[in-house]
Amino acid sequence: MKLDNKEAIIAVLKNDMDIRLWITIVAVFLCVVLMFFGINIVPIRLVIITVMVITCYILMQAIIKFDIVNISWKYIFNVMDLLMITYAIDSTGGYKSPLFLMLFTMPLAEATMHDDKKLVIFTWVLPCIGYPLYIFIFNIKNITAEDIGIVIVRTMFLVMMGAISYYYQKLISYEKEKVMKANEEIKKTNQSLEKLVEKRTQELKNTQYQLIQSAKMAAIGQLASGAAHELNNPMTVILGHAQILLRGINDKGIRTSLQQIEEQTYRCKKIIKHLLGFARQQTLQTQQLNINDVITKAIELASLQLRMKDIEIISKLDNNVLMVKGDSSLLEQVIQQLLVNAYQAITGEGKIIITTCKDKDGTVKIEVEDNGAGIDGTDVLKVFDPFFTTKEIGSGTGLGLFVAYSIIEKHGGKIRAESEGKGKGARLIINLPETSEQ
Amino acid sequence: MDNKKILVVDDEEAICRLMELVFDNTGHTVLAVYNGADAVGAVKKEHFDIVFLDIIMKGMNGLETMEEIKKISPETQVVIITGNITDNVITEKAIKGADWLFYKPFDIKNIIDYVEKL
Repeated sequence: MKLDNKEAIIAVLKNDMDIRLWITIVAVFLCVVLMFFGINIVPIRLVIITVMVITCYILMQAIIKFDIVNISWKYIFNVMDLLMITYAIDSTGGYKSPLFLMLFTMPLAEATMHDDKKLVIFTWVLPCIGYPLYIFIFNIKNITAEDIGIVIVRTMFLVMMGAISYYYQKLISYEKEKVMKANEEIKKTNQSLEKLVEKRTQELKNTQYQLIQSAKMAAIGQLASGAAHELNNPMTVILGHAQILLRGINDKGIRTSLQQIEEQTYRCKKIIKHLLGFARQQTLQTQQLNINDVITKAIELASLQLRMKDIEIISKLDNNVLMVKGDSSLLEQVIQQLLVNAYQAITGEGKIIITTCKDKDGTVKIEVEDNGAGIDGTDVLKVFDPFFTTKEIGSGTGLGLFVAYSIIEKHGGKIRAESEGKGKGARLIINLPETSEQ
Repeated sequence: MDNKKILVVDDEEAICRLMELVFDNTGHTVLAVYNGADAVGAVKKEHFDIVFLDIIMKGMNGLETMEEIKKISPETQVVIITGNITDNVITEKAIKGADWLFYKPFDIKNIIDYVEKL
């Protein structure tokens, strides 16, 4: 990250200042203040050197962190820290100075503040070598045998403190890792729980929808059956009289009107047939069926009509045998209905893709996909409602999918519609229980 | 073309009137009754070539009426006229025992053709 010098320094001061530095800065400030009152706690050159070191540290950290030099600033800081402490020791009595205790802070500080194993080892080893080296190089002339013993003991204390710091860092690291792992586990569990809840909620919604649909269908079925019976007799009378008149009347105008009566009565007959078909309580003529055979037959029956509109049918039927228990003529009726719907949704050229496969839940899945007019988001759930249609009045009864839904439900299966929206095609998906009976 | 004697049994008066009108115009003799008991009574009194019979009626239903008619006059053709195609035991048995079946609303041309061919 490239910043100009001023921004880099401000960034370091805000985010990357070690607490030991702040303590040192405060200590230096106090020393300077006391100096103005004539009280010298430490030699002035120590204060000056400390200020210079802190300034250099900040600048170097800014240079390293925000430029392209690839050295961890923490190692350089510790070397400078060691030099500063060494100078402080040297300024306050050399090998006799009690300030050697400051060397303990190096590995301890790294172990508690930065959790970096390599850095802890570095700050452990550095003073253990640096301190005796400094003593023997710069104090060799004045040192006595007794002093050597003290230096050795002090060095051993440094080694022990380093070891304590190292194992302390290891413990913290281990605990941190444990906490991190536990957090990860909790996070994963949370995520999988959330997914499970989402899945269950969706399943509940689907089941609720299915139940509502079933109840709706049952109520509509009863109403439809009753209405259909009641309508059959008056329609018979209307049609019959219109046909009697047609046999005896030559007047063109009157014949046209009578033919209209006849035509519209046939239309009512079709609607009633659908309604009664839906309400039919007859036992399904069930048998073991290879669903691919059912679909192949349905496609054959629909192919002539589909050719009229230059629509390509693509069959992607599973190579495996997918057996279901059902009424072949009713299931063919359903597939034909889906093909007709797809056909009517396509204007001009188009494509209908039929797929069969085994679904993840073990059911047999049949999908009829088209690239036609698509279904509006709000209408996707309504397409199976009776008399729902997006076509012009008189172009359809709006009962085809309603009946298809009932047939699939009677087979213990499910049917649903999916679409990305208007103009984006649609998919009708059926799931039927697979039978393993032979 | 033989003059056929036709009995129409339906509790819907309008259907009976329609059938009378259809067959009057074609030269056949038609009698219409509105329930099964009257139908059995009519068959006992005289022979009918064809009986057009509704299934769902109050009192004696179409199945019971058909069984009685067949006992009295086995050679009489019994033709079921019904709008009931829902799951119904009576309807199924009646349809199985009948000689022919027309679902309402039917084309009168089909009815006339059937009678003519008999």
